[in-house]
Amino acid sequence: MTNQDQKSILSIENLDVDYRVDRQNVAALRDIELSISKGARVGLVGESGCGKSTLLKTIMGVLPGNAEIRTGKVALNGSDLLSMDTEERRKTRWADISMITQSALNALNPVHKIGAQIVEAIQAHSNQTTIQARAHAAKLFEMVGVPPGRLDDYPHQFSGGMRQRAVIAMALALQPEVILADEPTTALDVIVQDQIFERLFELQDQQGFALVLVTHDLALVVESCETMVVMYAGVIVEMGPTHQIARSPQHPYSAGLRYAIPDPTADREPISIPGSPPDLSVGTKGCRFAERCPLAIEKCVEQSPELKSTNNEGHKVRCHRSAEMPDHLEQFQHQAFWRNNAS
Amino acid sequence: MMLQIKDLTKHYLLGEGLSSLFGMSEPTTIRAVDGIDLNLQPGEVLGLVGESGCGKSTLARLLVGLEAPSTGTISFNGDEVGFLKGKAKRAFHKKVQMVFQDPYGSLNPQHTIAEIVSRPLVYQRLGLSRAELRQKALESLADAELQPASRFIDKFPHELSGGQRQRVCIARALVLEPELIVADEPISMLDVSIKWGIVQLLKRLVKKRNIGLIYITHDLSSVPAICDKLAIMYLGKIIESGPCKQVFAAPEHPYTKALLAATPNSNPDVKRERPKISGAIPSPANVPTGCRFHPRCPAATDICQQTKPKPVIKGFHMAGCHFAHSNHRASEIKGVV
Repeated sequence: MTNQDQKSILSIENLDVDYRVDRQNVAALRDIELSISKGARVGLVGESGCGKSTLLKTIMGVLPGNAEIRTGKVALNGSDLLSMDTEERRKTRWADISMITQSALNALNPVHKIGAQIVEAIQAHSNQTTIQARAHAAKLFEMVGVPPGRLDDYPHQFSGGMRQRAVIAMALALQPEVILADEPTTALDVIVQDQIFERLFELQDQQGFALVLVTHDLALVVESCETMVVMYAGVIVEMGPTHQIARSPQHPYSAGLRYAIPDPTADREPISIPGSPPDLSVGTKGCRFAERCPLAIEKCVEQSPELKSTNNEGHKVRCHRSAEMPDHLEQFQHQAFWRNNAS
Repeated sequence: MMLQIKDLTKHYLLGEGLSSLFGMSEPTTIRAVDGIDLNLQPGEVLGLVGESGCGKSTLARLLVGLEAPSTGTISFNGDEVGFLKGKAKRAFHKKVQMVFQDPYGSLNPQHTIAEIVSRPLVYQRLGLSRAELRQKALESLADAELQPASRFIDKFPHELSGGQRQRVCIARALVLEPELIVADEPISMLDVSIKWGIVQLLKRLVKKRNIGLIYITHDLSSVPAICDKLAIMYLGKIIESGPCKQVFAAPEHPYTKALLAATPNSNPDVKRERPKISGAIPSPANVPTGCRFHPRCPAATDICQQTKPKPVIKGFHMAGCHFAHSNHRASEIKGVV
């Protein structure tokens, strides 16, 4: 997305999603604009409740019953997913867009053999015979680094890392153009996590699918994704080339996230952002980060900022005071700045 | 020395049931903790790092007397800690408290914050009145920096955020004014933006009250910001330990190097080399011969396969590797890990 002219495979425009909870509407997503080009690797960063999972569910078409898409368009290769009927939508899943979920244990049916589950997914979307599909599944297992001899194992016989590999194999089965990965390795140990990402990125380079990596681990995104999207309380607060955001964040929240992570190479203590995310159920005005922001002024409380481009490389930010951010960057690294200035 | 652990083991026997009685199968031994030595002084923070299945949580349970050691000893201020019951258990828990990983699961949803925080005082049978219990709870919440405490004390856990709940858990651990706190993954379930608030709170409490803290985690990157000392566990054993800065600056054990190398770095100017390590942690029922890390170690030789490494100590820095603190092969290890 660094270059707007690049062919976009998935584009989201003006998306608003509400949840209906206790007769109140919760504004889960507001004004989401996102365009993902072919083969891109995009990191979507945000904390619990920021709407990143809701966004993925909207794209996959698996929102819960109490969710309502108020406005917006989600287009895959130019065709609007939201206006498709159920059957058309079903056909796109796995074949065009697939998802790697957070908990591999929940993604696999415990009473069916793993191989049989992959074969089922392949056959639901293609005309392959069972023998062909099984051979295909064995090939997929090899690709993700699980011995094909273990196709007839049940999920509980796999370690956590192998289960996650099996889920990745399933996501790759129909060679989709977009893979959404929702915190794919949170339940895994660092070394296993590292091995799995290495493999996943290699596969991406070989097969050319676009990968949207949803995570709370900013360091992982900085290291591996060329584009980064930062979400807070249902809106995109900053997006653009990862290294630009990591070196010089333009939104105070991105700066907070950046400096909340320990950096063993720098001699500074990580900071924590005071307060907690706002209640989304009220019809709020102003910037959603205002009450935790050390730079907040009256305008921030009164008027919600728009997502504006800061340069022609696709770097966009939603902040009234983003122009002053470079002057404050040093201060953002110190806990005292966050605590003292916040109301 | 406040806490002294000597050659501690905890082995579980698995499959001791009917089938082994009738000779149909042999029971297997799970070596969850397999020979550990540790010391802690008041005012010190020890980071205990390891992957899942390395035995760090079993060690935590042994430390707070929830399990009895198989062999070896834990002594606290000179008294031995075993599987405690009754009065001895009460007396011990006055001095040693625990903070758990899950701030959602570790608070009773039907109790108010006041009841939760003052509950340890009730268990201690100190004969305090309701007003005194409430006052103690208020003070403890203030110490856990939930300000103003009076606004939180009558709430229920579901009304608080994850970070606030973890502060309630800390307040509950503080209310008895313990000398040692064992915190098992206290920040792993919290959001990034508030994690360090909890870490800094724990650190301030250690210095202010001169208590000991054992910080158990799988996240090596969180250790330098809080710990004075560091111990790295692998398959029930400490494979490297020492002053935090020293271990980070010059790790000796290939496993420590791999753990460090596997952690993504948030600095865009640092290019990380991925560790060349294979497989996952083996089962503690089937501990490899010789060095327990050798099947995964990229620098393993015949000696690693055959002989258990002795701890190699230089100053306060210990590493359980045949090639630790030696120039021999050190460059080679550096190259592959």
